[in-house]
Amino acid sequence: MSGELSAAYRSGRVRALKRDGLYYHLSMEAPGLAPSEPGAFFMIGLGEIESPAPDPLLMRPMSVLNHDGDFVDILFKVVGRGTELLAAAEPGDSLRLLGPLGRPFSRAAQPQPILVGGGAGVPPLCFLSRRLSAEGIAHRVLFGFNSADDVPDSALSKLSQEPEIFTLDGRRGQKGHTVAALAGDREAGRIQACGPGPMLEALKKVRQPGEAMELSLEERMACGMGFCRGCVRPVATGDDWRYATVCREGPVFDADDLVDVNEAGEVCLQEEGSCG
Amino acid sequence: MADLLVFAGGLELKNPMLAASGCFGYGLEADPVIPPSLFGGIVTKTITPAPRRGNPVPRLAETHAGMLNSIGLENVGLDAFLADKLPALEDVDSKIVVSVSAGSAGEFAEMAERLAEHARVDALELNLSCPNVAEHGRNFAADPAAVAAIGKAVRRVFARPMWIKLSPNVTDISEVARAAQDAGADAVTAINTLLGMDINIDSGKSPFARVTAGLSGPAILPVALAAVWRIAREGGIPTIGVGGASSAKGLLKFLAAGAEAVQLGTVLFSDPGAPQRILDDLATHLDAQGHTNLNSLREQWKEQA
Ligand SMILES: Cc1cc2nc3c(=O)[nH]c(=O)nc-3n(C[C@H](O)[C@H](O)[C@H](O)COP(=O)(O)O)c2cc1C
Ligand code: FES
Repeated sequence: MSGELSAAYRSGRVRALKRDGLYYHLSMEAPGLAPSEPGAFFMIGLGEIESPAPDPLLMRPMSVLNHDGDFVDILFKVVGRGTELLAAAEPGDSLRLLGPLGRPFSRAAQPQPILVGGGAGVPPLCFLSRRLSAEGIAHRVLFGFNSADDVPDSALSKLSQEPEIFTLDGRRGQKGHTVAALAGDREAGRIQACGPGPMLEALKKVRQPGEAMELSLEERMACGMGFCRGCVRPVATGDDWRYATVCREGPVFDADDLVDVNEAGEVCLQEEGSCG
Repeated sequence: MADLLVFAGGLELKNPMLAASGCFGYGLEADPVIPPSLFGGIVTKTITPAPRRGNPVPRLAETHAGMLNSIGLENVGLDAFLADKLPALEDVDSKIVVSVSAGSAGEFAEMAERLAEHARVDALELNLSCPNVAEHGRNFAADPAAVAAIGKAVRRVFARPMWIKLSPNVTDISEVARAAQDAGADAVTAINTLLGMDINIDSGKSPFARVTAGLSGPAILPVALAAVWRIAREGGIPTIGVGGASSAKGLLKFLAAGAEAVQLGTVLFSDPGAPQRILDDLATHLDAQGHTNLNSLREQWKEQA
C-alpha cells in the first residue's frame, strides 16, 4: 500500500457520449472529487450510487483523459459487457465513480519526457501531454494504432502539440510501430508509456542505457483500493520479489521495479478449491 | 433512533455488520472511503504461519450477479501481522476478529497461542477452507473430524471467542457445524465461497492457474441463507451469516434466518457506500416498525412463527 487514499465514492451524470475513432468519449459531471493527476484512474459503473446490487456488479477501471473541476472525461474501447453497457449510456444517466485512484506518472522537465501510447493506452498520455505543455515542459508524443480508422482525432486535437502518429495499416502518419521510431542510438529521456503488453515489452528493448522508464499497467480489478489483492504484478524486493497491487502501488510503475518471475510455484495447492 | 447493538458469537458488537475476511484487507486500506469504525467488527484477511504470495493473475472474473476469485490466500504471515498490521488497528472502534489458517491442528494452535498474547485480538475466526497438507490438500472444512480436531486444539490455548468458518462445498453443513460445536466454538461463520469456475472458449480452459475459484456476491445470498437456517434450526451453535448481503434487507434476511450478525464481503468492492447506507437503512427500518432495538424485532419474528 502506498499513501493515503484521496479517492471518494460519488454519484455522477453522463454529460455527453460520442464516438471518437475506435473509442467512446464519455464526459461526466461528478462534483466532490479530488483533482486527478495524469495516470490516475476511476472505478466507474452505471446506475445510482444507492443501488445495492448493480449489474454488472463491479465497476470498471478507466484512465482519466481529462479532469477539470467537476468534469471528468474518459476514452474507452468496448471490450466486454461492462464497456458495452457504458457505450449505450445516454446524457443524464446516473453513474457511480470511485477515485481518483492509483499512482500517477511523474512530471519533470529532465530528462525529457517521451510519451509512448498504444491504442487504448493513449488516454492517460493525452492528459499527461496537456499537463506537461501547460507546465512548459518540452516532450515528445508518439501514439500507435492498428488502423487509421482507430485514431481518436477529437481527443488528439485538444493536445497543445501534434503527436507523432503510427498506424499498422499505414493510412495515417508513419507506417509501423511507435517502438521502431525509438530504436537505435538517441539521447536518453524519460519514457512514459501505456499500451498493450507486447508494446511495453518491445519498449524495454529500445531503452537507452540508464534511460528512465515508467510503464502504466492494466489488470482486472474489483476494489480499486488495494484490499482485495485481485490485481497484482510481481515487483522486485532486493534479491526477491513480491506482488504489488496495480490499483494502489500502480498503475504506473518504474520499469526497473517490474520483474519477470516464475509465478507457477506459488499456486495454492488445494485439490479442489477456492482459497480466498 | 433504534439501537443496533447485538451480542454475536460471544462478542458485544455496536452493530450487527462486520467486514468479511479477505474483503477488507487488514482493516485500514479503504479508509477514508470506507471508515473501519463503521463496522461492529472487522474480520481481517486470513493469515497463515508464514507469508504467502498467492496465485498469479488473473485472480478475478465477473459472473452474473457475482464474481470468482482465486487470490490464493496471499497474506503477510503471522509475524508481519503482529508487528505491522495489528498495532495499526489500535484506535479502530470495532471489534477485531483475526482470521487464521494453517496446515495442521498443531499449527493452528501455535498461531492461536501467539495471537492470545495481544489484547487487540477480540476473537479468532478459523478459516478451514484451505488445504490439509497432510491429507493431500483435502479441504479441512469438508471433514467433520478435522474440524473438531482443529477446534479443540485452538480451544485449549485460546479463551476468547472462537468462530469456525464453514465451507458450503459439503453435503451436509449442519454436520460440520455440530463438529464445531463439539470442539467448543462460540459460533460458526457461514458461508465461505462456493466452488466455481469459468471457461475461456478460445482456449477451452479455465483462465485461472488453479482452474477452480470461489464464487461470491449477490448470486450466493440464497445459498448462504439456507446454510444459516439449516444450522440455526438445530439450535446448537450461534451463526454469523455471510454470502451475498448487499443491503439492509439482505442483512435482515440473515438475522431472520437465525444469524447473530452478518458479514459483508463482495459488496465492499462493488459499492463502497454500502456500509454507511446499510446502517442508516437498518435504523430507519427499526424506527418505522416501532422497534427500539434488534432484539425487539427478533421477538416479533418469533411471535409470528
Ligand atoms: C477476493 C476475496 C477474498 C477472500 N478471502 C478470504 C479469506 O482470506 N479468508 C476467508 O475466510 N474468506 C475469504 N473470502 C470469502 C469471504 O469472506 C466471504 O465468505 C464470501 O466472499 C461470501 O461473502 P460475499 O458474497 O458477501 O462476498 C474472500 C472472498 C473474496 C471475494
Ligand atoms: S483491485 Fe482490489 S487490490 Fe487492486
